[in-house]
Amino acid sequence: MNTTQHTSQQYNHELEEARSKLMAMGGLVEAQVSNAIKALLERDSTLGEKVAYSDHEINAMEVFLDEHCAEIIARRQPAASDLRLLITIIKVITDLERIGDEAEKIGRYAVEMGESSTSNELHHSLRHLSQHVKIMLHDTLDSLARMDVKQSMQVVDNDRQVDAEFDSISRQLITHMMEDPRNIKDSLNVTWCARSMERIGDHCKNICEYVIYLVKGKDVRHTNLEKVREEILGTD
Amino acid sequence: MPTDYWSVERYRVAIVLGAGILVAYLSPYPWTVFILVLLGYIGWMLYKLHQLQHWLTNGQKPEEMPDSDGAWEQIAYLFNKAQQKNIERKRKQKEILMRFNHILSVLPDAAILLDAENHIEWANKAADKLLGIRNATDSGQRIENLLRNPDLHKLLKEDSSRKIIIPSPRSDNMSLRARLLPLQGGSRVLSVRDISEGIQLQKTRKAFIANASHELRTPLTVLMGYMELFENDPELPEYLLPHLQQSREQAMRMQQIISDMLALSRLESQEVTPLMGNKVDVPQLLSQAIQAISDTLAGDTHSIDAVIEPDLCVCGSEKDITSVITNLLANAIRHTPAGTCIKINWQSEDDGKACLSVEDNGPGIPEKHLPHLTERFYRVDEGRSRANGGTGLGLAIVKHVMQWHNGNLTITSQPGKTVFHACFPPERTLD
Repeated sequence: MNTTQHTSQQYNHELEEARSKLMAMGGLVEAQVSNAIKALLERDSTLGEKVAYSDHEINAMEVFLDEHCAEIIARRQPAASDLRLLITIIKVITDLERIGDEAEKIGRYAVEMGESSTSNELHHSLRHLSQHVKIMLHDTLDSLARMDVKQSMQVVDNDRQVDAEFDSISRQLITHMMEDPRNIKDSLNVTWCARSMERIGDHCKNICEYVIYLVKGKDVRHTNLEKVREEILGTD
Repeated sequence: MPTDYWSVERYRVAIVLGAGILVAYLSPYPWTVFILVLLGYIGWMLYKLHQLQHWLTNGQKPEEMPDSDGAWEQIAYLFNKAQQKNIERKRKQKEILMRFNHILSVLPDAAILLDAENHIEWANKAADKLLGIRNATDSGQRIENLLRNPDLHKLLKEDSSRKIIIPSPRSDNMSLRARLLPLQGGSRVLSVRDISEGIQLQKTRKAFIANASHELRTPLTVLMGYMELFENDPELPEYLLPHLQQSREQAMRMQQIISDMLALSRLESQEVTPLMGNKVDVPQLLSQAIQAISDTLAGDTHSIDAVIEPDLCVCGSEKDITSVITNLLANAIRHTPAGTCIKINWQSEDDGKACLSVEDNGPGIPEKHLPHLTERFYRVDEGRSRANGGTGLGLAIVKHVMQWHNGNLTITSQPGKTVFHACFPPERTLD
């Protein structure tokens, strides 16, 4: 997306700033998520605590970006792709902030689970899902930075796998709980973590749909993926 | 040969003029004919000029070079030669450039050229492998958008050439060391190196030292326990007692070395991030240490003279600062002859630093040993220091503790005055 084509240099600068702040916020969220996952998998309750208490930075950035975008819209009355960019930013930051919240939750569970000794088996089931979600978030932010529709489509596609993985973990945990009711507390904690990761995947999917909207000007939410792919990649 | 070309030209002019005059002389309209002949000559010249121009504008292909002799041929020939040279030069330049690009691309370190606003201008192949930045698609992007590590953002904002370690966005197990190298005109090169192997090696080494020390400690404790038991046994033959005592002393020394090694490996494996830690009451620690020394044998042989600022405390790890104090004091007593006066000074300096200096008027340390004193197991005088006990790790521990607290240790020595000067930075000082 080219933001250097306006007569007003100041306008270019404002748009560029909004974009780079957005990506900086994405970076913070990414760091939070990977720290939260690390704290959870390595049972590092200090790191978990750090994650649980540094969510405010992300919130502050969301507020700043919201205000910045509203100001640009009010002062410059943007049209076409500039307007789409601003709308996208406003939407993306909401999802990013929610991802930050989920990371905070995972951090809290990491503190809790670091103290109790959950069986390793339960942790193992989370390892793969967390890797998957981490890569998904990374790809999402990359596709946002590069405005890469193809990669976005791929992420949207990947979300199904994450959902399937979450289902299989739930099933596994239910079996585990039925075997021995003493496992219920730990299993529930693991379920919440898995749930948070699955939610992060959903938010990634949303962000990717905004990217497609931004580049192609087509709203692809709540539509059939195959049809969308045909339409969008067919017109390339 | 330029003269040759011009002689052809002169010859041609002479023939045309001669033929013109001859025909004009024979014909009934001499002037008209003569002018026609001259016009013909000019026309022929223009035709040649046209040929040359046509050839020059259509790519100067050597096989289409206008075929004539005289000055025209030379001009065409010179043009052709210049062009061949040009082509050759371009080819060479291209070759050099390709070779250079090839070298840059096979380098294992990622190099990314950034302009003043952090837009990516160029990246080599390793940048894709280490950071996922592809030259073809990502040039013109802002690097902050693609590499979203908060530490890296800080580095880019600071624009300093310090090195930072960041995880690779491509893989969790890869650690990268990044630094910015400034170029002319505000552009920079971000150089990134894969250091996972080194970090892995360091981890293994530290783990080995820690594990080995730990494993050694357990059997030693058992040995010492039994030796103590034997020593106290009333039925022990008299002649065995001194040997047993010596064995126990050596075992104790070994235990000391092991606990020092553990302390050192713990210090080394600690993150360099300066945690503030708790308030440490250094004056109290100092007076305790001095009291402990006065109670032992050293109290009779060495005189201690302490100047301590009573309210000067620092932030840090109490355990580590205690080991700094005991090591420095023990060294001052252990390595000086009886009758030495030791001056201990604990006060804040003008620049806000809190400094502990331990000074003695002993024989001093030869200058060539000074830089090596803080190395592990370095001994100035092999025989003597071992006889006095001491593990050879004391100063290494002191140095590491001071480094970890962002402070420093300086050692100066001349006969009659040896000073160990350990300073804590102003931000750790509490008055």
